Amino acid sequence: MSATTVTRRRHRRRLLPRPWFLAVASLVLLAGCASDAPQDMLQPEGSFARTLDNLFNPIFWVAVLVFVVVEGLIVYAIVKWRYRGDADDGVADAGEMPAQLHGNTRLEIGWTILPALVLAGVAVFTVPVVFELNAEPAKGEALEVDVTGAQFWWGYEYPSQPDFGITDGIVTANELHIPAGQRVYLTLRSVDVIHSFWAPKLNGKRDVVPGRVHNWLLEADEPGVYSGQCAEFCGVSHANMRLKVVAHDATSWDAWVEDMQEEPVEPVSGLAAEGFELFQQRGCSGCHVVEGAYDEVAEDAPAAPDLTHLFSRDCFAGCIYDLNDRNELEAWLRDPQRKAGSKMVVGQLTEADIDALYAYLETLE
Amino acid sequence: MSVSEQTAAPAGAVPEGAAHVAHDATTPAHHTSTGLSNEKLAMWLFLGSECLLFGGLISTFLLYRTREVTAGPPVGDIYDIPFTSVSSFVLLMSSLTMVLALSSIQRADHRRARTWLLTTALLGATFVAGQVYEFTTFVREGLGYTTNLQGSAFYTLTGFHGVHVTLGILMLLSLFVMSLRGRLPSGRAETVEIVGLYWHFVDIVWIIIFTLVYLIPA
Amino acid sequence: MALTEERPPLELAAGDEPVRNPLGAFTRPSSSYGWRSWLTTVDHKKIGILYGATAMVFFALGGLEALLIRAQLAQPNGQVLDPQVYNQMFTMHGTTMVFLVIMPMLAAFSNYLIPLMIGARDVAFPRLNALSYWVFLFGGLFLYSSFFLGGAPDGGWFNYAPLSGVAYSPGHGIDFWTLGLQITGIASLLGAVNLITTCLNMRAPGMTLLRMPVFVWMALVAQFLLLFAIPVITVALFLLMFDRLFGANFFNVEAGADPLLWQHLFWIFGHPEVYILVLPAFGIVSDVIPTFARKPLFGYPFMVFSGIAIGFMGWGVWAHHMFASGIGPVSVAAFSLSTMFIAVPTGVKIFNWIGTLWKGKLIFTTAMLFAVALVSQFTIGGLSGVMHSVAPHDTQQTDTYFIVAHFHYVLFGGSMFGIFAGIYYWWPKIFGHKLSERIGKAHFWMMFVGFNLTFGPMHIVGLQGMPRRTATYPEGMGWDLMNLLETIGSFLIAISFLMWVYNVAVSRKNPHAGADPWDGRTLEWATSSPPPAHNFDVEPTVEHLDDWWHRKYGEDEQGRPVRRERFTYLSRVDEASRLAGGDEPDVDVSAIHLPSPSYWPIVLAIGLPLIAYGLIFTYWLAALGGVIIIAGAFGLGLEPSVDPDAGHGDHGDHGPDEGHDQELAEVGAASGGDDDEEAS
Repeated sequence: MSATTVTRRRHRRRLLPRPWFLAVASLVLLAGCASDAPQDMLQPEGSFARTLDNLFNPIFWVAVLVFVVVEGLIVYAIVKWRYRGDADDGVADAGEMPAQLHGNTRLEIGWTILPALVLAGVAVFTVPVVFELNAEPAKGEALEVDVTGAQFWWGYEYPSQPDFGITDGIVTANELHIPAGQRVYLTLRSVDVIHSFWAPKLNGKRDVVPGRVHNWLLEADEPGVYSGQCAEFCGVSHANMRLKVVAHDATSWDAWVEDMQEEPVEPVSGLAAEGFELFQQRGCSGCHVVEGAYDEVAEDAPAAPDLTHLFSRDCFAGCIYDLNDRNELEAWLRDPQRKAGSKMVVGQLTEADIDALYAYLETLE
Repeated sequence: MSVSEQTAAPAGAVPEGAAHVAHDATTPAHHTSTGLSNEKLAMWLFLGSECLLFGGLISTFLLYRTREVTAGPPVGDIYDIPFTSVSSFVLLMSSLTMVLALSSIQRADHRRARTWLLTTALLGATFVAGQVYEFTTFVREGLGYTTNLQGSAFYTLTGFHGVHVTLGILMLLSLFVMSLRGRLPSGRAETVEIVGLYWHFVDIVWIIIFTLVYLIPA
Repeated sequence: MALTEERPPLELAAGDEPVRNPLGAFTRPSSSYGWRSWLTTVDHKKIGILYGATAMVFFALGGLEALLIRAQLAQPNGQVLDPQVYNQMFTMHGTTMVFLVIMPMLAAFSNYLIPLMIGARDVAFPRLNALSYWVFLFGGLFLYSSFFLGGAPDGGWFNYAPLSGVAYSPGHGIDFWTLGLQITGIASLLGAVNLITTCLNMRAPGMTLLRMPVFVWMALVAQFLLLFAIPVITVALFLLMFDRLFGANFFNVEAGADPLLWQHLFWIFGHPEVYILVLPAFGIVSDVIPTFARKPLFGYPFMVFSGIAIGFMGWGVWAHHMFASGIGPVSVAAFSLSTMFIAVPTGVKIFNWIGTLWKGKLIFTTAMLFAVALVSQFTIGGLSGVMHSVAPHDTQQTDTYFIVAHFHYVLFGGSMFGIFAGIYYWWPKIFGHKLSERIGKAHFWMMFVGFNLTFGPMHIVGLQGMPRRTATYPEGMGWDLMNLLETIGSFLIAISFLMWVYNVAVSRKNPHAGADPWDGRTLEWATSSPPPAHNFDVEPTVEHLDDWWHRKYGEDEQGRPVRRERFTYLSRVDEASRLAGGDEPDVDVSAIHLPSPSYWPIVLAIGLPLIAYGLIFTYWLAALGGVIIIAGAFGLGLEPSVDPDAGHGDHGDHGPDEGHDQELAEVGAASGGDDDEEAS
């Protein structure tokens, strides 16, 4: 039967992807890597994220090496030992048998031990970093911020810390302001379900678990705005629970701290004053705090962002809408459900109401 | 179908009480690869799985018993250790009567086997009754199922065990009825042995629960 | 039933009265063909086919959900699905693919192949086997009925507390999820007990453990993992169910509960589950590759022991799903290390497969293409897995698309490709004809390209910080192009699946493939295609690993295999197979008795969804379900396994027995009883 095989017409079938496919694939890969991605974890911009990246990089390249070797062996075997006859009519007719190798104990022990050694190397570098990232900074060494995760926005409270110019405590939401080049020590709490605080260019993520208090570190090298978002599935608007970290240089940090510690002035006349009234009539003040004016919220109110310095921020509602675009906020007041799962209830507002509320909110700088 | 192993003693074939010492019949070893009958092996596997089930529930209780309760009494304050000790002893004794039932049926002493089977079931029922009494006392003392963490964990764990005992009682009663109807010849003593395995397992689990949940302080 | 030739023929002893069906509700079914036979069958082969067919239907449904997800994410700010529906889609996609596709698909292979491969007539408990299938089917249908009864579950396949609690998920979706998975869990548990008993107890003479085919080994390890993992998730599901239905406090944070309890329980189950999903696929390719490399598996003992090692180590790595959960640096470091080292036995497997390819004569049938693709794609999944094990950096990777890419390379590139390798490989054994190789290869290439186009770019968007489980994403994040490619890829996968369906449809007319179309190595190829109900006319006596191969091939002086002039099949085969040099055994098969079909498994199984509906809607329904289950359990337990009335002396394939062989009533009752408690 082997004789028949030898004389059988040989036709080659293409087994490997065509070259154009490989070319397109690599182009796509390059395009992917080169594009500008504000949450790219491979482009760290702070010491902690860089520590992680420095750990990841060599391991990534070792993995690439292993990948190339293993896939290379597979492709080599395919190319070299592929049976090129036609086996469709019967595998048993494929001619002479290859040597029947049952195994090679020494080789197999070798490829058990070799990966184990490589992994032991990886482990040696990994374990110390685990502890390094969980270290608690000394008092006064890092800016402390209490972070609260809530469906579907972030709240921040800065306790009084004279070392960082904060004497009165600061409350804000969605945008976390930090001084560049300084460590920030976050204390994470949740008021409802599990969230996860993540600003990829500054550090990895840490879950925000109700009933537990977790800590996490951040640091940005340079002033700038860093994108992040909730990374643990937290319900219908999980995708819309984004955040920004704004890192300041020394002067702008001082200015920000000073601004935030000033109480807003209560409007006495005009549209803003109307809005100020409406803010209470429409029940806004039942949930939202405005320091000096509306300090108390209703007892069973859902957690809501502090609006004292609303217009010091650039985004709202989980940082998905631009606060500098008047239309966005007006649309929000018209229908807070434009963000699914929003807990905000305002009822029907007339356009005049909305104008008045907007005028009031604008004063909250 | 597995169970081919039972062939040596056809059901209902052996007149009850006949001195049918069927050692060959009760050890169907040579028909399976391991020597254990399929049924017995299956029961062992099932009990192995049950270990993890109770392990999970016990761990949950141990995790939560150290936590502050937000309402109602902590479960540790309302244990009646002497009472539960007695009912634990009753359950422990039922393992003994289970062994006696098995040995009677292997000796083809069916009258005695039935007595022991029924005794085992009654002891089990006494334990369950004790548990019902315990639960009602606890509820009266203010610890309901939803009162606090410890209540939920305690009732779920012990209630789950109680359901196991109840199922065991059902099996024992089924055996008793089968024996009355002559469907449990000594050739099928392994059936009793397998139910016995289950019964002993449930007992052992209770010993662990009693020690970890009741005796060792939080 | 392990009937051996040396056993005396079974006869009714004098004075023996045949046992009647004590509850007498039904006349015993007797048909072995026609659609009714599928409802009452206890034949492991038919049950295997039922499992496989059902799983492929669910695969289509899960795939449809995936397409909707990809359609939504094709562009930034997608408007295809609203977020509520999107969450239902990814929850049901994950749950379906894990619990209703890959697990039952592997149950299908295990059911069909294990008895054949170890030389047994059936599994240890054929009626429990039928029960597992029906329970699984009704569990799956119950879960899917949620779409019509108020909305599917939307908490993710992992359903983290407290989001899964009533306070944050007030609809019934999550109730369907907890109850549905408990029901399918019962099916898996019954299956595990049954198949482990089969592997350990029903082996043919000479089939020592280290002569079992690697598929049987890997399936055995997976069933052991199931045996111990199912109760853990059952506990988690219980606790969640009691919280939701009866107001317990297990995940009530206000009462002081710790949400991490759920995560620990879920992942103690969840990680072994990964190996449950992938080990049998490893087994499949470990049988496919040697056949088409025309060489024995390289390092059989290493393959077996590395599989066992994975099975053990799989229990010590669960918290690597929780590196960002805040479990403390000591735990993180420990689980980081254990996770790294589970890569070692996995690596051994990859190298041994390459060793099997090395210097072989590689015949690239469709099955072989899928098998080699598994080796190559699983390598990618394994390497990204090692990257996750670097715990500090995993705080970046976790919950991003990098993870989605990883586990799809493991579970799709691994398990599903292995399953398709198995489908193309064993199709002629199961149905008597091959699937078209021409369409099969087109299917393979389409699926290969589609798969890599879908999940390859996910590595990139993941590293670029795209979190998973997000219903939408804004512009300007640099994720647009990759997401578009992924969506295109997913539709290519859908097309490739349709090609497979087409292949199944048109291949029915293909010529009969014979008993041994691939020149196979293991015992299932020694019997006819499809095998007779009793599997083998003569019970094999096994002398070697790859026994069938050694029956066909001797060795020349250089140790090269030489096909024997004559060898003997283990059952009557078609003419073409005889022409290939095989003789037929000449034995009287009338003495072979198989258990009779039964209504009880399907009756008992139907009680479980009734209880589940009852718990959600009205307790009366639950009571009805409970009554059905108790009746079913006693019916199943007390019914003789073999119908005493079914034609005496019938010499067909399904030779009925005289009613000696009763499955123990109590064992039936015990497992039945366990059903009700797990569902209550």
